[in-house]
Amino acid sequence: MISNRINKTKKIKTISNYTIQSHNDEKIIKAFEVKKSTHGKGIFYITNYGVYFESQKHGIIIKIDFEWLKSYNTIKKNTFQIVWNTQNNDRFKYEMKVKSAEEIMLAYRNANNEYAESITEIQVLKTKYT
Amino acid sequence: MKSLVYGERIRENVLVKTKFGNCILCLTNFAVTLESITKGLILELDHESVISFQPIEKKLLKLVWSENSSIYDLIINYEEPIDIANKFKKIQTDYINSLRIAGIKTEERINNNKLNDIKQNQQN
Repeated sequence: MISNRINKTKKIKTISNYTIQSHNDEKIIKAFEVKKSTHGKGIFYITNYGVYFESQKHGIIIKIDFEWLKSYNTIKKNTFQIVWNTQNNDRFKYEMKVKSAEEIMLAYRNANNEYAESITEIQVLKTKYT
Repeated sequence: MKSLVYGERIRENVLVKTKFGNCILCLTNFAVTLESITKGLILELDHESVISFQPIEKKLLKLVWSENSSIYDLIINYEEPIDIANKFKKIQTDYINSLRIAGIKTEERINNNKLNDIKQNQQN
Protein backbone atom coordinates (compact mmCIF):
# COMPACT_ATOMS: atom_id res chain seq x y z
CA MET A 1 0.00 0.00 0.00
CA ILE A 2 1.47 3.31 -0.98
CA SER A 3 0.87 6.43 1.04
CA ASN A 4 -0.74 9.19 -0.96
CA ARG A 5 1.58 11.62 0.70
CA ILE A 6 4.71 10.08 -0.69
CA ASN A 7 6.15 11.25 -3.93
CA LYS A 8 3.27 11.79 -6.28
CA THR A 9 4.72 14.94 -7.74
CA LYS A 10 3.80 15.80 -11.28
CA LYS A 11 5.66 17.91 -13.78
CA ILE A 12 3.87 20.71 -15.53
CA LYS A 13 3.63 19.96 -19.21
CA THR A 14 0.84 22.21 -20.38
CA ILE A 15 0.44 25.84 -19.68
CA SER A 16 -2.28 26.39 -17.14
CA ASN A 17 -3.28 29.21 -14.92
CA TYR A 18 -1.86 28.32 -11.54
CA THR A 19 -2.43 31.74 -10.06
CA ILE A 20 -3.60 31.31 -6.52
CA GLN A 21 -3.98 34.85 -5.34
CA SER A 22 -2.72 38.36 -6.03
CA HIS A 23 -1.97 40.69 -3.15
CA ASN A 24 -2.31 44.45 -3.16
CA ASP A 25 0.93 44.91 -1.25
CA GLU A 26 2.92 42.31 -3.15
CA LYS A 27 6.45 43.49 -3.96
CA ILE A 28 9.21 41.91 -5.99
CA ILE A 29 12.17 41.19 -3.75
CA LYS A 30 14.48 39.55 -6.24
CA ALA A 31 14.44 38.53 -9.90
CA PHE A 32 16.60 35.88 -11.52
CA GLU A 33 17.23 35.05 -15.13
CA VAL A 34 16.14 31.55 -16.14
CA LYS A 35 18.24 30.13 -18.95
CA LYS A 36 16.16 27.04 -19.57
CA SER A 37 12.90 25.51 -18.46
CA THR A 38 10.00 23.50 -19.90
CA HIS A 39 8.65 26.81 -21.18
CA GLY A 40 11.94 28.26 -22.36
CA LYS A 41 13.84 31.24 -21.00
CA GLY A 42 12.35 33.72 -18.63
CA ILE A 43 12.54 35.45 -15.27
CA PHE A 44 11.91 33.87 -11.85
CA TYR A 45 10.60 36.35 -9.31
CA ILE A 46 10.58 36.08 -5.53
CA THR A 47 8.07 38.36 -3.81
CA ASN A 48 7.06 38.97 -0.22
CA TYR A 49 4.16 36.53 -0.74
CA GLY A 50 5.60 33.83 -2.96
CA VAL A 51 7.15 33.23 -6.35
CA TYR A 52 6.30 33.37 -10.01
CA PHE A 53 7.93 32.46 -13.26
CA GLU A 54 7.42 34.50 -16.39
CA SER A 55 8.43 32.84 -19.61
CA GLN A 56 9.67 35.07 -22.44
CA LYS A 57 7.48 33.23 -24.86
CA HIS A 58 4.38 32.33 -22.84
CA GLY A 59 4.03 34.92 -20.11
CA ILE A 60 3.38 33.96 -16.49
CA ILE A 61 3.46 30.18 -16.22
CA ILE A 62 3.26 29.72 -12.50
CA LYS A 63 2.47 32.03 -9.61
CA ILE A 64 2.35 30.45 -6.19
CA ASP A 65 2.05 31.79 -2.66
CA PHE A 66 4.34 30.52 0.08
CA GLU A 67 1.26 28.93 1.70
CA TRP A 68 1.13 26.40 -1.14
CA LEU A 69 4.85 25.97 -1.77
CA LYS A 70 6.27 22.84 -0.18
CA SER A 71 9.98 22.80 -0.95
CA TYR A 72 12.75 24.44 -2.93
CA ASN A 73 15.98 22.75 -3.91
CA THR A 74 19.09 22.70 -6.01
CA ILE A 75 18.64 19.47 -7.94
CA LYS A 76 21.66 19.50 -10.21
CA LYS A 77 24.33 22.12 -10.59
CA ASN A 78 22.45 25.34 -11.32
CA THR A 79 19.06 23.69 -11.59
CA PHE A 80 16.54 25.12 -9.16
CA GLN A 81 13.35 23.25 -8.34
CA ILE A 82 10.17 24.25 -6.54
CA VAL A 83 7.43 21.88 -5.37
CA TRP A 84 3.92 22.94 -4.47
CA ASN A 85 0.42 21.67 -3.72
CA THR A 86 -2.83 22.83 -5.28
CA GLN A 87 -6.19 23.17 -3.56
CA ASN A 88 -7.05 19.66 -4.84
CA ASN A 89 -3.97 18.33 -3.05
CA ASP A 90 -2.21 17.57 -6.30
CA ARG A 91 1.51 18.11 -6.12
CA PHE A 92 3.59 19.68 -8.86
CA LYS A 93 7.24 20.51 -9.41
CA TYR A 94 9.01 22.84 -11.74
CA GLU A 95 12.70 22.97 -12.61
CA MET A 96 14.64 25.89 -14.01
CA LYS A 97 18.23 26.13 -15.17
CA VAL A 98 19.76 29.31 -13.76
CA LYS A 99 23.11 31.02 -13.41
CA SER A 100 23.38 30.39 -9.68
CA ALA A 101 20.93 28.08 -7.90
CA GLU A 102 22.61 28.82 -4.58
CA GLU A 103 21.89 32.52 -4.95
CA ILE A 104 18.20 31.79 -5.55
CA MET A 105 18.14 29.38 -2.58
CA LEU A 106 19.46 32.13 -0.32
CA ALA A 107 17.06 34.77 -1.63
CA TYR A 108 14.12 32.38 -1.34
CA ARG A 109 15.07 31.38 2.19
CA ASN A 110 15.32 35.01 3.31
CA ALA A 111 11.98 35.99 1.76
CA ASN A 112 10.30 32.83 3.05
CA ASN A 113 11.63 33.27 6.59
CA GLU A 114 10.40 36.84 6.67
CA TYR A 115 6.99 35.67 5.45
CA ALA A 116 6.78 32.89 8.04
CA GLU A 117 7.86 35.16 10.90
CA SER A 118 5.37 37.89 10.05
CA ILE A 119 2.68 36.02 11.98
CA THR A 120 3.04 34.07 15.22
CA GLU A 121 2.26 30.39 15.53
CA ILE A 122 -0.61 31.07 17.93
CA GLN A 123 -2.25 33.54 15.55
CA VAL A 124 -2.07 30.97 12.76
CA LEU A 125 -3.58 28.20 14.88
CA LYS A 126 -6.39 30.48 16.02
CA THR A 127 -7.21 31.37 12.43
CA LYS A 128 -6.99 27.78 11.25
CA TYR A 129 -9.15 26.17 13.95
CA THR A 130 -11.69 28.82 14.93
CA MET B 1 14.69 22.87 1.86
CA LYS B 2 11.25 23.00 3.32
CA SER B 3 9.25 26.05 2.32
CA LEU B 4 7.59 27.63 5.35
CA VAL B 5 4.01 28.79 5.75
CA TYR B 6 2.73 31.52 8.04
CA GLY B 7 3.89 30.96 11.62
CA GLU B 8 6.08 27.99 10.76
CA ARG B 9 9.56 27.63 12.26
CA ILE B 10 12.18 25.01 11.58
CA ARG B 11 13.16 23.31 14.83
CA GLU B 12 15.51 20.64 13.50
CA ASN B 13 17.16 19.61 10.22
CA VAL B 14 18.88 16.23 10.17
CA LEU B 15 20.66 14.29 7.44
CA VAL B 16 19.23 10.78 7.29
CA LYS B 17 19.04 7.72 5.03
CA THR B 18 15.81 6.04 3.95
CA LYS B 19 14.69 3.74 1.18
CA PHE B 20 14.50 6.91 -0.92
CA GLY B 21 18.22 7.53 -0.48
CA ASN B 22 19.93 10.38 1.33
CA CYS B 23 17.36 12.75 2.74
CA ILE B 24 16.87 15.71 5.02
CA LEU B 25 14.44 15.15 7.87
CA CYS B 26 12.96 18.49 8.82
CA LEU B 27 10.99 18.99 12.02
CA THR B 28 9.01 22.21 12.26
CA ASN B 29 6.47 23.42 14.78
CA PHE B 30 3.73 22.34 12.34
CA ALA B 31 5.06 19.38 10.39
CA VAL B 32 7.55 16.60 9.76
CA THR B 33 8.98 16.51 6.25
CA LEU B 34 11.38 14.27 4.40
CA GLU B 35 13.23 15.61 1.38
CA SER B 36 15.47 13.67 -0.94
CA ILE B 37 18.70 15.55 -1.60
CA THR B 38 18.39 14.83 -5.31
CA LYS B 39 14.63 14.72 -5.86
CA GLY B 40 13.10 17.18 -3.44
CA LEU B 41 10.10 16.71 -1.17
CA ILE B 42 9.02 13.14 -0.55
CA LEU B 43 6.81 13.18 2.51
CA GLU B 44 5.03 15.81 4.56
CA LEU B 45 3.04 15.08 7.71
CA ASP B 46 1.31 17.36 10.15
CA HIS B 47 1.85 16.53 13.82
CA GLU B 48 -1.70 15.26 14.17
CA SER B 49 -1.07 12.50 11.62
CA VAL B 50 2.05 11.11 13.31
CA ILE B 51 1.21 8.14 15.52
CA SER B 52 4.74 7.41 16.69
CA PHE B 53 8.34 8.25 15.98
CA GLN B 54 10.41 5.78 17.96
CA PRO B 55 13.91 4.34 17.97
CA ILE B 56 13.88 0.64 17.08
CA GLU B 57 17.63 0.05 17.10
CA LYS B 58 20.72 2.16 17.56
CA LYS B 59 20.52 4.93 14.95
CA LEU B 60 17.34 3.51 13.46
CA LEU B 61 13.95 5.17 13.82
CA LYS B 62 10.47 4.12 12.77
CA LEU B 63 8.01 6.80 11.75
CA VAL B 64 4.39 5.67 11.84
CA TRP B 65 1.51 7.77 10.61
CA SER B 66 -2.16 7.57 9.79
CA GLU B 67 -3.70 8.59 6.50
CA ASN B 68 -7.27 8.01 5.30
CA SER B 69 -7.91 5.20 7.79
CA SER B 70 -4.66 3.44 6.88
CA ILE B 71 -1.42 3.18 8.79
CA TYR B 72 1.97 3.63 7.15
CA ASP B 73 5.52 3.42 8.39
CA LEU B 74 8.99 4.36 7.28
CA ILE B 75 12.40 3.34 8.61
CA ILE B 76 14.92 6.14 9.02
CA ASN B 77 18.63 5.65 9.49
CA TYR B 78 20.67 8.50 10.93
CA GLU B 79 24.26 9.15 11.88
CA GLU B 80 24.19 12.51 13.67
CA PRO B 81 24.59 12.20 17.44
CA ILE B 82 21.23 13.72 18.38
CA ASP B 83 18.18 12.15 19.93
CA ILE B 84 15.69 12.74 17.14
CA ALA B 85 12.85 10.80 18.72
CA ASN B 86 12.91 12.85 21.92
CA LYS B 87 13.28 16.09 20.02
CA PHE B 88 10.23 15.19 17.97
CA LYS B 89 8.31 14.33 21.13
CA LYS B 90 9.12 17.76 22.55
CA ILE B 91 8.07 19.48 19.33
CA GLN B 92 4.80 17.57 19.22
CA THR B 93 4.14 18.45 22.86
CA ASP B 94 4.90 22.10 22.15
CA TYR B 95 2.42 21.96 19.26
CA ILE B 96 -0.32 20.61 21.52
CA ASN B 97 0.50 23.30 24.08
CA SER B 98 0.28 25.96 21.39
CA LEU B 99 -3.16 24.68 20.43
CA ARG B 100 -4.17 24.89 24.06
CA ILE B 101 -2.87 28.45 24.34
CA ALA B 102 -4.78 29.29 21.19
CA GLY B 103 -7.90 28.01 22.94
CA ILE B 104 -8.30 24.84 20.88
CA LYS B 105 -9.07 21.56 22.61
CA THR B 106 -7.34 19.17 20.32
CA GLU B 107 -5.48 16.69 22.47
CA GLU B 108 -8.59 14.55 22.79
CA ARG B 109 -9.33 15.10 19.12
CA ILE B 110 -5.85 14.03 18.03
CA ASN B 111 -5.87 10.92 20.23
CA ASN B 112 -9.37 9.93 19.11
CA ASN B 113 -8.47 10.37 15.45
CA LYS B 114 -5.39 8.20 15.83
CA LEU B 115 -7.32 5.53 17.74
CA ASN B 116 -10.03 5.49 15.08
CA ASP B 117 -7.43 5.08 12.34
CA ILE B 118 -5.75 2.22 14.20
CA LYS B 119 -9.09 0.48 14.85
CA GLN B 120 -10.15 0.93 11.23
CA ASN B 121 -6.87 -0.53 10.07
CA GLN B 122 -7.24 -3.53 12.37
CA GLN B 123 -10.75 -4.19 11.09
CA ASN B 124 -9.55 -4.05 7.51
